Amino acid sequence: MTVQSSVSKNEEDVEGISKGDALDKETQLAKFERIRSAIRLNDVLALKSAAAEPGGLVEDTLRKESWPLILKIDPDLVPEASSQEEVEKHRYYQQVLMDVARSIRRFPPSIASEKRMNLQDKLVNVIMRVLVANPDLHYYQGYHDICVTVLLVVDGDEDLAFQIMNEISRTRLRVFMEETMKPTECQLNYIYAIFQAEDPKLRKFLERAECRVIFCLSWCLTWFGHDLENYSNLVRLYDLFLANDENQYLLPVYVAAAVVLSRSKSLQLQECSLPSVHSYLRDVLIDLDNHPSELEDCIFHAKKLHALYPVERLEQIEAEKRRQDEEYRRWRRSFLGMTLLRLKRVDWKSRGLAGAVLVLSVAIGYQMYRRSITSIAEA
Amino acid sequence: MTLLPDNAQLPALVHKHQKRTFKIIIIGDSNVGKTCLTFRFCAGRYPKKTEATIGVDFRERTLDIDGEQVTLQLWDTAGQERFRKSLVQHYYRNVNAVVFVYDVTNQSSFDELPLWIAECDTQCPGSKIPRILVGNKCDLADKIVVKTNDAQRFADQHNMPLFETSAADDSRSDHVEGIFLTLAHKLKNSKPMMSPSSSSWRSSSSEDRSREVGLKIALSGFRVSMTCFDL
Ligand SMILES: Nc1nc2c(ncn2[C@@H]2O[C@H](COP(=O)(O)OP(=O)(O)O)[C@@H](O)[C@H]2O)c(=O)[nH]1
Ligand SMILES: [Mg+2]
Repeated sequence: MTVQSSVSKNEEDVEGISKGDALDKETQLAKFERIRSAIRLNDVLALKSAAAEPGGLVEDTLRKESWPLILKIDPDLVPEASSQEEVEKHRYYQQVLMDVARSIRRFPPSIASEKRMNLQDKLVNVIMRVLVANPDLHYYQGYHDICVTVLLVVDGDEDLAFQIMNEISRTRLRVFMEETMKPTECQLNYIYAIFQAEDPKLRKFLERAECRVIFCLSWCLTWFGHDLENYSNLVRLYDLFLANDENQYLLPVYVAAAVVLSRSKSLQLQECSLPSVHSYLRDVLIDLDNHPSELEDCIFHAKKLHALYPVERLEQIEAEKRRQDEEYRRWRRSFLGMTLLRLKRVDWKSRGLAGAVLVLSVAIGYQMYRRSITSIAEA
Repeated sequence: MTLLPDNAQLPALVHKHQKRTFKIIIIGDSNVGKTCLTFRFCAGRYPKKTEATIGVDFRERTLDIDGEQVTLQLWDTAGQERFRKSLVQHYYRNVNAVVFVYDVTNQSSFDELPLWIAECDTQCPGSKIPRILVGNKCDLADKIVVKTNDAQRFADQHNMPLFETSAADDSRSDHVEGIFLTLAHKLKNSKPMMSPSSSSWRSSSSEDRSREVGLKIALSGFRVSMTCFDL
């Protein structure tokens, strides 16, 4: 009987899976059609909502047409290329060359090396064109990770890749491209406000480990391009980041927060130090990369966090935290606070010892008091 | 009653079972091979595809040195200035040793070294943490532009040993290993369980010295010049 039921359950499972797959394919097909018609109708709102849904914009042919529409780019307005001389004397040219030369992992493994090298040349061109066109923007290591993804999605169309990168560099990536990394740090610091609201213990843990924003630096700076191996997961995230234009810079931070929050408990069992947090979270991302449904859960959670805590709310949370910290500091400076805190920091052995001394001295004092009472009485 | 100071931070360095962890930062210009060197030492091979480092990466390897477990925790830093500027205090906090790397085929990576050293001096003033200088990419024999003599003079001036090596050359993989092993011995024999900055590079026992000589012989096959070691 038990055997039979287990067999029938298995069958059900198998059927369930195949059904699910069929369903998936069907919705996939329906979605494909939906996106197609949205492209035809230039329905940007429909494209944005499709981009944010699970699975994003489904495939690169659709992305190549949708992204320019979402970003309001006119593909026919071909920009002029910058002169080779201008490019070669640019202050970031050497750095770009070095980073692009080391970007081989980012190309499909099956790609012929000639084609890859051709794409790498285009990659240099795209980056340099953006930098020349926007003298106020500064190159950072990791920017090339975003460019390579865009270039792959548009199938090597250099002009289009430039237009897309030019647009997002001026908006979504601008904060990363300031002269120093200060604005980047401020931006990523919002992750702590999210933790404060959702999981204050996690925040404390990360602060004690002195992690600052290092653990999510490459995630946010490269839109996860540096850390995800699975191309379909990556472009799905890019759909999300491009589709969003409210608090447009911040969405990667919400995704990063959701990733960390999803493993908060086990993270806090690790050694409380930056290297251990960093390696642990890197493994978490690899794990999510291998389980797209879990990654999808994180994205879902990120969108929820985004709705729940817009920037203004995060700023309130931080202000409130600062006020509490200030109050705590003032309390600590007070005499009572100082004493209590000291007691709190004393380890258990000394606490035991102090307790014993206290009990003993009270006992001795009491005895002495009784003696003096009785001796007075006797007298 | 033992009251710990506000910033008491013992557990990071003193592990259970006498296992000690040493924090070593790898510093130098972009593209000189910092990531490849640390990868070679920690994973035992040359990485097939390297990538630009973003911020900082961590690699570690535990060694058994005279029966004691010693973990070298390598902080592989990004060379680009913007990362350096914002993260620099992080790098130097509680650091036990610094490895400066330049590329023997790239003169400017060598010329930048004084800046790196000045930064190190301002970040940990007055401390005598061990420092070593590594010239990488020696396998590119016909492209070498930084002369050993110049590098040696520079190393002597700054009181650190020089190693010229290659992360890429498989036949010399034990050479990279040797560099870090030397460092590990040095660190292990520094005063145990003390705050890292008080460990002294030059206070080695005679036993330690003989080991260095042994190592030196083992390494001597490959353009090694480490004359300013404790000899
Ligand atoms: N020929 C040669 N190339 C190397 C060696 N070490 C690193 N490289 C190359 O130099 C480039 C930069 O290396 P990487 O470790 O990423 O440099 P980092 O920026 O200092 O971390 C990569 O393309 C490596 O393949 C070496 O010993 N010999
Ligand atoms: Mg590197």
